[in-house]
Amino acid sequence: MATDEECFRRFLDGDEEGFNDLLDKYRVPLFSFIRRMVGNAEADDIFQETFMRVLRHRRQFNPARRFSPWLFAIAANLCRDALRRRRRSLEQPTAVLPELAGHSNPETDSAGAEIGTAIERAVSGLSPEQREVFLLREQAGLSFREIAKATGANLNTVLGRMRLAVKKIKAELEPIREK
Amino acid sequence: MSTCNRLREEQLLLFAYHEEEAPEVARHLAQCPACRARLEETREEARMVRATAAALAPVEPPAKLIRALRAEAALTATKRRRRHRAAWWLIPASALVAVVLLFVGLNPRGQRQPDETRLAGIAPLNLDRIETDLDRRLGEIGVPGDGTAPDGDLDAWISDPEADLETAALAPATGDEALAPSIRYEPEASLDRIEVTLVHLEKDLGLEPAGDDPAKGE
Repeated sequence: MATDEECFRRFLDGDEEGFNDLLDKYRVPLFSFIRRMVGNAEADDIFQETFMRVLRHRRQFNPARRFSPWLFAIAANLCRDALRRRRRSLEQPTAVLPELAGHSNPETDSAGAEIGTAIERAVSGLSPEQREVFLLREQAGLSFREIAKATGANLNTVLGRMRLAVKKIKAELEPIREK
Repeated sequence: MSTCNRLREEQLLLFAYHEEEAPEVARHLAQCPACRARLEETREEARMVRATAAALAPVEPPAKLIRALRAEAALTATKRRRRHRAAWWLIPASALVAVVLLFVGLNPRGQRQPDETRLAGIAPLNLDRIETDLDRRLGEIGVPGDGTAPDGDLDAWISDPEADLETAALAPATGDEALAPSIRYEPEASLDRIEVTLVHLEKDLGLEPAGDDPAKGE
């Protein structure tokens, strides 16, 4: 199985299948991350723009580094820009939870819709910064150091945001776990 | 249980996620039950968070976006392949053109001439022209240019002393070493030569210097 970096190298050498392999691998985790960061309104645009930037700036990618932190860093930056624009226009943050209600995981359906809804509520209740760190760490698989680099925050700030995210999620889910 | 705040929560988090297992943290954990309990709690939270993240529903992007991106990638890859194919024969072709241009630029007449040789080549031509011209002009006024002049190299010096000095300096070693001394600039001797030449010219032109000829009566 080729690594992400090998796939990207193939694409740089003129084989579009290298890019398609990466698109297949990351389309769901990336789109899920974007949807949970900005909601439904801009997710499509940000998703497309993320991969378009990968195509446009393909020469800037350093194959000695991992591909996924680069990809998610692009997406995270676009999400932050979108949230900033939204704050400036005094728009209320998009409620993620109702939009994701129709996208419940079949595996969690069997475990109970209540747990799935509670988890989505817990994640959407995090601040954008905490949600970003939580999703990048637990869904995208970036290390804390990679998150620090991708978000431009220092490592202790990232770890602090993660601690707060964990505590909030724990507090949100505690009542359900006790049932 | 006693508490210990020697390890910060950030250190425990990095340790729990196996991202940084610093030896000093490991040493402290080995001897501190309170911090081991804190680490165990952090690991439990990490497991819970991981399970939470795994339970989040994956969201599929619209198929039209994927199709558009695939098409864009195919276009980019095709451009890349075209450039690669073009570059394949452009590199040797460019190298060939560069070599031809270099050759033509350095050697426009088809033969290589070092600067010194080219400059030295100009000097004899100038001297020949000057000599011929001078001979002609002297001939016109009746002065023979065949050695009857006061000095054989005078005409060369008269033409342009500075140029002759330069010519002498640039003259290639032809084996005819008489050339260099013959055109050396010696101010006093040269003034004498000019004077003699003028006397010859005046005489030939019938212009006798007034009162300077003792043979001429008052």
